[in-house]
Amino acid sequence: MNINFKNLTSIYHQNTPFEHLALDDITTTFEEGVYYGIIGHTGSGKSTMIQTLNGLLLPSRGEVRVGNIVLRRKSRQKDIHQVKKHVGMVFQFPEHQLFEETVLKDVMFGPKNMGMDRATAEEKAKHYLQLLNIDASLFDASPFDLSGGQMRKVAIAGILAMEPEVLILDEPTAGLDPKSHIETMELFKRIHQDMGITVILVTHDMNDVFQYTDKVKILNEGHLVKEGRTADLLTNEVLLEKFSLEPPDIVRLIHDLEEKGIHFDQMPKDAEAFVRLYEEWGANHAQ
Amino acid sequence: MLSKMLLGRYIPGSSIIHQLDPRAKILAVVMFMAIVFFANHWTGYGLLILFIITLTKMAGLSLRFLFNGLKLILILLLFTFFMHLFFTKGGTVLIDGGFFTIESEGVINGIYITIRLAMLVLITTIMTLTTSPLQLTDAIERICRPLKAIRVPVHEIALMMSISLRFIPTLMDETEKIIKAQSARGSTFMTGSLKSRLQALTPIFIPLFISSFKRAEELAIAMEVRGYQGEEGRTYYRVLNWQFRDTAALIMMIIFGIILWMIRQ
Amino acid sequence: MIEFDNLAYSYRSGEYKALDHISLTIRQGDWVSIIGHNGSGKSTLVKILMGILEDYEGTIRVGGEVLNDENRAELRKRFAIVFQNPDNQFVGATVEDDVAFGLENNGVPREEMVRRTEAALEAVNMLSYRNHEPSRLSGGQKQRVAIASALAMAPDVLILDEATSMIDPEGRREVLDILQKIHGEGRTTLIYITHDLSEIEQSDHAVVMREGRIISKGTVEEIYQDTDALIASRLVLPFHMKVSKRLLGGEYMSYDELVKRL
Repeated sequence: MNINFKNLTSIYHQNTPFEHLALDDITTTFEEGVYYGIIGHTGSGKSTMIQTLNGLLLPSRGEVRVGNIVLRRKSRQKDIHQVKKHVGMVFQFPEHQLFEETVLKDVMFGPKNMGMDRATAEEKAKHYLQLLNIDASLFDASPFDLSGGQMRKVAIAGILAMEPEVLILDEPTAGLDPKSHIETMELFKRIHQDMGITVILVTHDMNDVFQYTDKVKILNEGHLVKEGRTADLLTNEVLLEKFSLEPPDIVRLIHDLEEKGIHFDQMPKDAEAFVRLYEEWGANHAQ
Repeated sequence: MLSKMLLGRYIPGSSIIHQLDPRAKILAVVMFMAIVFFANHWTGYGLLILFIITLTKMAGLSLRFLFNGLKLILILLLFTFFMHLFFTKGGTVLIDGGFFTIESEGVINGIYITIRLAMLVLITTIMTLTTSPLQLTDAIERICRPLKAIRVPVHEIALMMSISLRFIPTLMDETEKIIKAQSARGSTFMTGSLKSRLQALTPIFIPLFISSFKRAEELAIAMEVRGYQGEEGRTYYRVLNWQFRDTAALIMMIIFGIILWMIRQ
Repeated sequence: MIEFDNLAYSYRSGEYKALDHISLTIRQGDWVSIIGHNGSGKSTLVKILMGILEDYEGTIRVGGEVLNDENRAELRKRFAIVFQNPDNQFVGATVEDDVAFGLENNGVPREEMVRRTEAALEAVNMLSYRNHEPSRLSGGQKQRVAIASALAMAPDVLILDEATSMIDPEGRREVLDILQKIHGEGRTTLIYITHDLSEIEQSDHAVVMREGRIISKGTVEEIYQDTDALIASRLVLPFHMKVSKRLLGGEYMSYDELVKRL
């Protein structure tokens, strides 16, 4: 399922002294099965964009097409609800939305709202909790008795159990310790690969964007200023500098080495890949 | 919707009205509440309207903007007007609808009372638009200080007010986030029976309560480690500075009251 | 100077120890980072120091004086702390009110209060925001105000308890730059609690904690050298260290050095 923005403009507090243009005439496509990154500074319109993607905000002008459903300025609740079924959203600090008496019930909340019967919802909930390494002994515990990391996993399971075709992640690792950070990002990567769902990641962490996403869209002051393959855009230091974005660690290292005269014919994605590439280079060079 | 609410909103500026001591503004509003009752015929009401228009201009606010804000209490104004229209008797009978009559006194009284109410709301709005909530809190604390003699915890109340003011935007943001998060999980608050709508509030209120308690706890610790131990031995960073213009403003209010009193019939 | 001697603490009696007999000396003017995974005991240590948790075993000496019930309130004035959540420690309705709050509590005369508030805001580059409300500030700016509020109290020791974990990378850099400046002035001891190894580079000494114990301590170089202890403590090496460990062995080197050696 593709998502298309067509001449989409989003204005907050329209016709008041506090009017603010958040997105300005954006036309773009999110293709099925691709892992996207949306990057840009605070206030660039990232958060408006993802909320428009799943019907939390309606366009002020233009339209967003999610599969066969079109959302415009005055769309009906029924259509909006349909969009939420297809597009799941993991908010920043998702553990703040837990409210049920038990972990299992909380995860079942979304699926049930989407019209799944109890038995199916429970089955999905258990499946995704297990996928996220939440032990079955915790299913009947109160979500508020869990550790911070576990709470986040339960909240994420609550979105996954709705089985969305598109998954939006808003700073999913904010506040996590580095180890949990890696585990969480690896989990989303697995879900993306195994289930073939579209993932849209919004983050300030350029290393994650570089390592995990296929394509990126760069927003600046409400404009979509650039989109394309991650491997092309995030290695373009001139472009990054123009929008004062930090290059990923690995890109910085490769560029610094190039200045020293060490050239690689490919761009590794993480430290491991770099080590392999460098060793290869060293071996070839020794000959 | 909320963005249209003017009552209780503050618009920063540097007009003479903005610069007045908040205590002077509160006292002036209180005086005005009495003064509106002096007006009892067209000239008086005309002067009241003129006075409010002048104030609005002095505060650098646009009249249209202010009257837009009035729309919110339009129902209240209309209600007041119609109550008088139907129930105040006297003068000539204008319409005789059988079981009800509309008489000239009713029309005139309806208009008068509605103007009175509108003027009161407008002057209060001008005050809140030109005075930050924090300044108002300060002013209320200073004005109420004598009440400490009868053991009213003035300082604590003022601190509570200022912390509430500080946290209102935070909690509004938080509420909006939680509503969005639950609505992304398919929760619907806009449709269904009253019962199901009320049930849909649980997923909002519980997270909100939990986070508010957490905030309160952390805030208490933050205050404690910064040495807060009540009013004793405390000094004040904010000082209110009563100046000549504040006295002048109050004197002008009194003169205005006297004029209205003199021309009443 | 702060000395912890055999400090132990349990949250609920009988359960595992949040702090398991820790001894540590922190010198005046040093920047000491305490690193550890969630639940390693690093925040417990701070809470005890700040007097938020009592009933601990062992002794704490501040400037040679043993911390006890009588002198706790007085000694606490030498410490100031910045917490994790930027929203929940902002007491004042505006930036300057927040900075002045601690001074008001201590009965500082108004003129001195104004001077110290301005100086503290100047030190964190937030003076031009003095009349702003917290809701109009970014996370990084709020944490800078929190640092200013702490600095205004002229503490001997400034503690930062995961102060950057909830803010974006830009805010994190701003905060670390300010700390570098404060450290450069040499008066204030900095205790920096974090779970992010890439944030300790500027500190003089570091302590690695795990399950209530100190498992490694020393200069930052020494800590970085001991990669096995770091990995065992569920910590993640910064990118350039991962590369240098794999390609050039265990010896610690900075990023620039790595580029030079490759």
